[in-house]
Amino acid sequence: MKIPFTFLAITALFAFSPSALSQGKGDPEFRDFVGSNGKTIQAILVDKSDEKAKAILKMKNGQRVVIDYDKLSAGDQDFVKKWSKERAVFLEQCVGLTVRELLELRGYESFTFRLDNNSMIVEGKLNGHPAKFLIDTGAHASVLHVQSARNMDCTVGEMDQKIRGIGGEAPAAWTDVSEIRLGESVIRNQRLLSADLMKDRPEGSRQMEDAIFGAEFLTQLRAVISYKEGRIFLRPDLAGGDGEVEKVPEFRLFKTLNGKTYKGNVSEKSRSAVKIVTEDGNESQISISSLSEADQEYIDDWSPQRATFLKYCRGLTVEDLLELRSYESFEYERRGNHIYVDGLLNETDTTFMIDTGAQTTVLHINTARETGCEVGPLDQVIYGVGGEAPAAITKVKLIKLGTADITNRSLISADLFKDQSGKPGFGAIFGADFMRELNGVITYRESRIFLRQD
Amino acid sequence: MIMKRLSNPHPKFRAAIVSLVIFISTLSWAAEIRMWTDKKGRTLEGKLEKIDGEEAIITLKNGKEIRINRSLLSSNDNNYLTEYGGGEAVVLSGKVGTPEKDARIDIKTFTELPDPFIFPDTEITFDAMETEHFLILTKGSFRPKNIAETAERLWHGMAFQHPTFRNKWGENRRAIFVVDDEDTHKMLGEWYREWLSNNGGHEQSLKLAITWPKSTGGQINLPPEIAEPRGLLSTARVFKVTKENDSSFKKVFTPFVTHCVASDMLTTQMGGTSSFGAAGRFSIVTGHSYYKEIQLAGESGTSLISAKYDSSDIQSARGFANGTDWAKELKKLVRKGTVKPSIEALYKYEADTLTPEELVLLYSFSYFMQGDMGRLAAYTKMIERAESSRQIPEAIEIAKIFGFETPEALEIAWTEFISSSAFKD
Repeated sequence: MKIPFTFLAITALFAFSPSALSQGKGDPEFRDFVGSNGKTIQAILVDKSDEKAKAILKMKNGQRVVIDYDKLSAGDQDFVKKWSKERAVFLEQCVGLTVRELLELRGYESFTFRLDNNSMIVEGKLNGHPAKFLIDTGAHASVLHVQSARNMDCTVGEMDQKIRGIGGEAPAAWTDVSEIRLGESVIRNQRLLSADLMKDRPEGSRQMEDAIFGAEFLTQLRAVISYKEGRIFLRPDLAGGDGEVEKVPEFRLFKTLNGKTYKGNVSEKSRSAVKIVTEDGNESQISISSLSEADQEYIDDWSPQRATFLKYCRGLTVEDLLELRSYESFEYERRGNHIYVDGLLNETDTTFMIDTGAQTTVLHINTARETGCEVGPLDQVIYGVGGEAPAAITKVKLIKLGTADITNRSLISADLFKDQSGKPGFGAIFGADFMRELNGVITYRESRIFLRQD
Repeated sequence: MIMKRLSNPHPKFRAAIVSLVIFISTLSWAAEIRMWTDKKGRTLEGKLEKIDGEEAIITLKNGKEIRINRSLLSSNDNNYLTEYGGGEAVVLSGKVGTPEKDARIDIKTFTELPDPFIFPDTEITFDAMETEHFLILTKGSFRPKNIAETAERLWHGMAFQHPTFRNKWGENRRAIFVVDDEDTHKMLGEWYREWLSNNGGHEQSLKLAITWPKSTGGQINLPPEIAEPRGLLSTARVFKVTKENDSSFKKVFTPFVTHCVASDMLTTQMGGTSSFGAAGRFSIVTGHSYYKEIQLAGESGTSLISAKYDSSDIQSARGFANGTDWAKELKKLVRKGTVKPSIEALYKYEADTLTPEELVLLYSFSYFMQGDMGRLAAYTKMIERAESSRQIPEAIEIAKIFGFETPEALEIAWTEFISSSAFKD
């Protein structure tokens, strides 16, 4: 076949060309590349250098060619410029990795949460005592249940402060906490407010949490919350810092039980042995059972997909990874520690506050009326940190965030801004009910939420 | 589970013959270790290696590879294969199996505990038998194995059909009390009535005073101080064995026990309701319980009883109809136009006023929703929606979940189902 484009022989221009790579899921498809002379070849883009303005194409006969950008049509140039090798490698070779694996590979610590009536509960420790934390994006600051704080050796001051929430105000006390621990994340020497989180609750109500783990800590710890996986991911190593530090060094130091060391990376493994390419390029094959316990665990988790991801895809952001998984992404607006997303309520532009601590979505009653919701009498009661508040069953035709449509629902509306002056900052609390339904993911580091409607 | 063991691709490594070591070279090596469930309720832990046609190749923790036909795996597993394995989405259709019957339950694993269970605040002691997911507490000479096996089988059915059920249940067990003397039953009822009264349930306590003596299958809440230290779920079932109903407890999948435990499984999956979300819940749960009862036991022997103003979940083992000709009778009534399937009407049914025709309609609606693999997947989604929103979806939303544009379109399909040969007892 006569190649209609001018091309260069493959050189060491590009360090890596895995296999034929595409930007779509699954097997790569050949694309019709049109040259500036109008002729067409079918090929797959396998690598590129924007600096040198050159692309490597793999043709159907397996031959690879290097071609200058300016020898391609405008459309193909655009395609090449937008193409990302990291994405292509991911889709080609790492697509089987779950969100959990992807985040853990990026250095996140993860642990499961339990949903209790839609409340996200994580087991942790408060001053060394086992404690239940409610993960609450709607709380701008963490709050302790005062009785739990006392029981768990916190120093509780006078109840001379006030906290505000649904239900109005409630008395609160400055409380010194020595240590909060969630997994490896340790928060020390904090001064938080404590209050009666069971205020006005009906007789026999069950206390679900010892403390509300609020947005200030979630922000500091770069939290990622994934409803679908039932996990929360934290980066305690980044707390207090601005930039993301790569935790995974280029080489790992493997130690055998008899004291020998190998500095390198795993290239292959079998049931009982592992092949390590050491930093000087030599290969060593080692019995897994001869390695230290930590190294054996590392080998057990190791897979070529993970290795490929770390080698070629580590630059992908959480946003990239989730969008590659067909999630729709929204950049959220952050005011203080609260998260806001714009959407529609019955066809009217409305701002929603994302609140994992709200068991159900709640509309501000004035917004509900203004947007044509069918608001019933105030014969219901809802509870928040401020105590109880009257509420109304409210029929909603449509809530829309991006392409996700939530239709024909009975919700609750209440005065969300009781005793507050000024214009309301949002129209509704988008609660855990819809975050669950839409497989919501919240990433604090990237200030985005992701939704996927099944 | 039909699992074909592959030849071992990972020969034992020996340092002396390193050159012969065959390493795994495929780049499609699997992702994380996860739990897989087959139709027989069996589970295994392993990583997805890849999809090969209709089969998933899974590497077990010990390094062995097995092939499993996708049709034998749960819907949750198939969703995973589609998302992470790049497999085609499986459109489920066709006849629904009975994973409850297929499940392989080893009753030798049921363990009689050496120490009796002493019910706090009372003087009642129970013999205790532990299974993987239940704690059967008996008083008297009653043998608990049949109830234990029925419960475990129903548990596996739920785990197969509802992807989130296993995680929701967690490591907990559900207590099932079985008492064969009136005094113990009465004492339990009195304890529960007092507990309700002390915990804000005054009205419920009054209702219980009327319904408890008549009930042979009531439910109680266990306070956290009883449930949590023992890893028990917060609700428990209490069966009363009498001379009249003792046959209900002497074999696996008797109508009454199946009905009650199936109801417990579904309500666990659905979670609680909001203060305004109860509409339709009674109908969905009751229909499901009768559907499972007739599907698994072959007949119905359960009647609903209630206080005058109560619609709580209480069953009596003395049924008003045996369910062996419900489908036939309903077909006639629907054909004549005497009974018209309506979702809106179904939302308003209550135990106190439920007619036999309405009861059979509930059964038929549950049968319709779960009687085909495709609709069963929609049913699973509907129950998930009910759990997260804490209310049964409105009729239009149920229609959409089942792929219909309007409730009327769904009702037409439901009516056609009743008339079809697929609807049979």
